[in-house]
Amino acid sequence: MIFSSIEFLFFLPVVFAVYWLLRRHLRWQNLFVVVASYFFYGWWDWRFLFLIAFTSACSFGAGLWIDRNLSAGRTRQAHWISAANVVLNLGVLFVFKYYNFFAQSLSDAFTFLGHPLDLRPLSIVLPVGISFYTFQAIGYSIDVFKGKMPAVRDVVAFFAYVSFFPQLVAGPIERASNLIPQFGRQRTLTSDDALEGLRQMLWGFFKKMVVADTCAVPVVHVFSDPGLYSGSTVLLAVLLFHFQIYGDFSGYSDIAIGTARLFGIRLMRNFDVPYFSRNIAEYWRRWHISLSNWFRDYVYFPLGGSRLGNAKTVRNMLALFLLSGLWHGAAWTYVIWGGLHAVFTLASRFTGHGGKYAEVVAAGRLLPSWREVGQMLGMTLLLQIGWVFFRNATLHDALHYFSCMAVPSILTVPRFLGIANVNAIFALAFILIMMVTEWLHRERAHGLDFPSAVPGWVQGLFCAFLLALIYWFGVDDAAFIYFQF
Amino acid sequence: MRKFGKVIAVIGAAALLVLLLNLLTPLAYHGLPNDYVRTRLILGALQRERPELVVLGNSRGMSGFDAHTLEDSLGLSALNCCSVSQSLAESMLYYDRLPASVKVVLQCIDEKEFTRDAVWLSEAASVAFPMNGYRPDSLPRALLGPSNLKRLTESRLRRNFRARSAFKTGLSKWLIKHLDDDAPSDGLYDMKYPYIYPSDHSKTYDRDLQLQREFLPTESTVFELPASLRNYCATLDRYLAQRGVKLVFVLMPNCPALGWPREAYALYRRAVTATLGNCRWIDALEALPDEGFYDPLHPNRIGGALLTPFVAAQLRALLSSD
Repeated sequence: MIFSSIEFLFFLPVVFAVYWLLRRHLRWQNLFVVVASYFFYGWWDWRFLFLIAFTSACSFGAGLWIDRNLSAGRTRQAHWISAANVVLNLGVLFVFKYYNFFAQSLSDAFTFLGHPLDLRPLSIVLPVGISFYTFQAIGYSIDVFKGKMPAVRDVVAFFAYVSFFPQLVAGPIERASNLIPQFGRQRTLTSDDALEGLRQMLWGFFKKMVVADTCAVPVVHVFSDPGLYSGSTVLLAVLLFHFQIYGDFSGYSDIAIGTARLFGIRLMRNFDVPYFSRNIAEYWRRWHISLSNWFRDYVYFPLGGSRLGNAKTVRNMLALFLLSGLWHGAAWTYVIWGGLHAVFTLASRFTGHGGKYAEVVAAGRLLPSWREVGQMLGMTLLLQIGWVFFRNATLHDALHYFSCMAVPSILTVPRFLGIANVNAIFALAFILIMMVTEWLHRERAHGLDFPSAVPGWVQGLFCAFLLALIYWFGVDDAAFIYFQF
Repeated sequence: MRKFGKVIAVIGAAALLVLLLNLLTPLAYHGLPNDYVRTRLILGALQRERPELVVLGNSRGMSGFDAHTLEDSLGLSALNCCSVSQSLAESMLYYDRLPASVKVVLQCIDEKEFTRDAVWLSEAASVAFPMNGYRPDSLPRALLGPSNLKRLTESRLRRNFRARSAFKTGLSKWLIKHLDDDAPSDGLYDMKYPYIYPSDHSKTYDRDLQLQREFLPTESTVFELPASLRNYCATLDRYLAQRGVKLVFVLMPNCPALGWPREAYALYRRAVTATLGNCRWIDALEALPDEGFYDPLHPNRIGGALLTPFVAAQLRALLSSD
């Protein structure tokens, strides 16, 4: 089921009502979360429910087993069980997501070397959100092994943790230590929580249904045949994709966090105004935070992080970003996207431009300094290069895209064809609304987290305006980009 | 419950706002231009005017037939009542609104009609008709099937909700008119020759050609026509005949640049003959050269100037032989 579908409009109130009716029966309430979540996921394809159940059962069992061995002082066995669980989960992910990619790449490589190799592709569907819940399950068993949390003994709470419907298919990738304890205690809902959740959902729906889906029209047109357009139009299409993917993914996260809040559950923040970053390191602390943290804690730090000298820092950084690229999709363009970000990050680190910014840009001020404006524009430009690889299906397409940009017509006024031209104008207007709102609220939890100084009627009027935009301009049923990951 | 008073008030206000927007939708729908403003114009024209010949069909018919030329050639007063994406089923909704003056209906059809359900009605059309006060009578009730009928007769709230994009499409039309120098002429309101493209070839002609080529007909896809389509066409023919109206199908031109093999043309014609049975039809499949197309589907100014007299001549011959 998709958040922006009519079905969800009916699903949510029913689940909400039953959930709070069961508030005095924690176990039944958790069981209901599992049932509702499986229904939510099964609406897309019920067969893959077995896969989630399998992943959940393996990690739950592994957690108990690791705990028992650790208690008995058998650290080595515990280590092997944890590793086996990781391999098992990654194996499932490999079969469903990466087998065809590697088989094709190997075949191509052997053919190139003059030894044709026939590795037949598997005819399977990629289960929605498999990377998200697999990483969540893996993270749990590692945390138990490292003693960061005790093994969960309540199977229902654990299944609820893996399958909790607001964040099941596109994150945030929650930490077991944050989410599982919440399923272990009585949840409460206050009026403020409910209003905050609803506001964040509204902001997410605006970003997804209005901003992202309007950007999608010109983006699809140009990326499908960039040769038809002027260089400036091709460049503008990348910029629109820049905002499309942000609206799409951060919109999803806002809806997920807002929805969870209606159920008395606090999810972690996944986006913290990343497009107002001043350098690449700050960007990665603000973009898809839950994934960045996951890779940092389970890949980068275990490899030694940046504590083992420059050569190993380079190696670790490359591993971090290349894996992150591969996580996004089974294609070389994603790997290159990850590699580019590694290069950007290393370059900024070794040239002394990777300074850590503790606070958001222009904290306590209305406007940024000229230097900050320059830094943010520079970052935007840098990100565009990566997005060209990210959005194109093949390396050849990406290079062709760049070649369509590097022409004299890059200095002309951009112009899309037919209906896409109008959609680009709408998109730019909506982007302006989104970015100005986020700028004004960049020190707060989300775009509609108004400071108390803003009068209630102004807040209400702005929310009504957004609701009207969603109603008039919103595209329903359009899938979220990150579902495919 | 009292502690959630504020939440309930907020949700209630949001629901009220959505209801208000819903009730305002018909104003946007009728007040702003969109492709389906034409449904209202056609229904109005059929009520107001006394045409003797009516052309029905989709945007290919809009850009392919100049009713002035038809009038001059045939001596019959004519209206071009084609509209964007008008399917055979949508055309049929106009049949029971034809004034008594109508003697001939020229019904455009193309290969799309043979690849989908005979009673396929677009989402936009299913909104546009009831939005303009249309209520189906005996013919559509007999032919449309329950799901289409349900859409045509649903509640106002539901219909308004489905029509909510009217504001966006209206604004889009307005912007296109002011920004796109190759936008079709403002012919939505023209009941004689609605669609005239300013240039002869679309900027995306080659790409569109490539896309259309992916859907080249094969024997198994296009030419296994459902039996229901044959019954459907025969019923339409009988219905109009009872009212003294001659129904003439026009097989719309195919762009030669699409590169259909000769066998495909032969198979297509054989299938159409089998489907249309004893109905009258004009074969304009190869009536236009490449130069006559704005894009691989739509005739341009040159195409319209060639197609109209071609069909008029064929129609004259058909009518005189009856």
